[in-house]
Amino acid sequence: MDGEFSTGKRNLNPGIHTYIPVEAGQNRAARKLGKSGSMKKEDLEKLADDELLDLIIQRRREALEALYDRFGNAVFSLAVHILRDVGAAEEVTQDTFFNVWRRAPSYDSARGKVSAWLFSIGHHRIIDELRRRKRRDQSEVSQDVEVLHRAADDSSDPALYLALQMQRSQIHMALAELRPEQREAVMLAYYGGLTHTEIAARLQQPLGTVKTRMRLALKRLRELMGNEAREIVEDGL
Amino acid sequence: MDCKEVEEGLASYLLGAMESLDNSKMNFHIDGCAACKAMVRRESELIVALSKGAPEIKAPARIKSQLMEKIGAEAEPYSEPEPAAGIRTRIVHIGRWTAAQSGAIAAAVAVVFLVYGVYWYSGRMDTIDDLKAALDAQITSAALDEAELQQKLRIQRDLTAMVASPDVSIAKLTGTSVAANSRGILAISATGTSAIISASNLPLLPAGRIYRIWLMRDGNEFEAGSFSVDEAGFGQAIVDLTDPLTAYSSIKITIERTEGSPSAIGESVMRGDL
Repeated sequence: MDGEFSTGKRNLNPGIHTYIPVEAGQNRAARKLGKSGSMKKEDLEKLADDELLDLIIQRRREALEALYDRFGNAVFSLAVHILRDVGAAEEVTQDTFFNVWRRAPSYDSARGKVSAWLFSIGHHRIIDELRRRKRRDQSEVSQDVEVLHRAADDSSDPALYLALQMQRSQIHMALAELRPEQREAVMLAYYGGLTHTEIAARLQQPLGTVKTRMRLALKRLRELMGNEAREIVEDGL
Repeated sequence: MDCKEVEEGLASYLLGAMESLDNSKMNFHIDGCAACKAMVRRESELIVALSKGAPEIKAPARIKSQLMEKIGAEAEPYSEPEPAAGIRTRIVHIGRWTAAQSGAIAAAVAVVFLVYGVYWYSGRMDTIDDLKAALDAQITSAALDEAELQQKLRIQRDLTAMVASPDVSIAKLTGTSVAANSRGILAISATGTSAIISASNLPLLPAGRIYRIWLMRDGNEFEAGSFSVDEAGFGQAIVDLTDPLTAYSSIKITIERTEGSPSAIGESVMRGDL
């Protein structure tokens, strides 16, 4: 949905980048919104993600609302899935979009599309919350880990059990196609919030082996999903 | 960190499985490397797909209403010091840790001698298996301590290498009259949103006190984290910011209560221009 973020330029101070939005980008969003630059919901819905981000940089609250409407459910769903706590998921979802609001000027299109940037913020916030909870209550951690293990034990393949909970068939099918040990590494990292060191300890495998499994898993996912992944990114929800 | 290391660590990085320091090192490199940025961009599509793989649940409407309310408050033009929202600080107590670990190893050795002492003086041969188990546990503990020490030393070397990177800019901090001999540097990433602060010759603080970092902008103070120092007066912290450091005019470090301070009310020990 979002295209190249070509509407801004970066002013290069020694070692420090500062985003400066330029008029062209503002005009692009404004052109789609009509001469009045009105912010009707139906107009905003037509804008690409990066155009909404342009408007967010200009502190247009309606644009953030539109971006939230586009991705809010997905971020919340991911948070619930990982944290298994609706209250905490609400908090991190709100924090994610608050961070989008505050950090919009630092978005770098060269590193990925707006959706990738937004989910990266969201996932990091979710994982931070998960790890904070683990530090706060180690016994709870053990319980969480046990839950993960129990869930895994209910199936002949632990990671596949978690994968089967997913409703999105493309992703589900791609994950199911991975070798079990690769899928396990991805699931424990992305949905389990474990660091690669923790995964290595859990699986009693060398750290290098775990890193390799993750690398090969993403490579294989790319092969399996290819254009589908791109479509998921571009189609939004 | 070079491009090859980024490529090898990219999966862990994108899956959120990296330790925080390694994550910062990746960010430092990627921010200044067009080739690695392109690689991240390409692979990040898969991560978006994974993000959308969770069973969809409709978010309660209150999240959005509270968000918009919060943003309304945020739009106020910096009338008072910001809370630490969006600023995450990871504290690295390398020096203090070293001392603590040395103590732990010494304690482990002492326990070993104690265990043997008990054995020799009690003459209770029937406890030999228990004693052996205790000895093995202490040896294992000491070995783990040593491994952790090696890990910390490696982190210190990596930090040094990071500071020496050409993509990093440096700001100097000088001591105030309270700590005239103290010195510090702020190593700032290419994007300006990550920084490592290293301070030396600062006084060791009593219990309940901590050094707190403040960024100054338009006459307002923004808390950016805190750190403590070891017996040699050395302390470090890694700071992640939502706004680049160019958005701030100066930095200062004050002595505050450990439980937190709404503003910089303690004595200022160091400052620097940004």
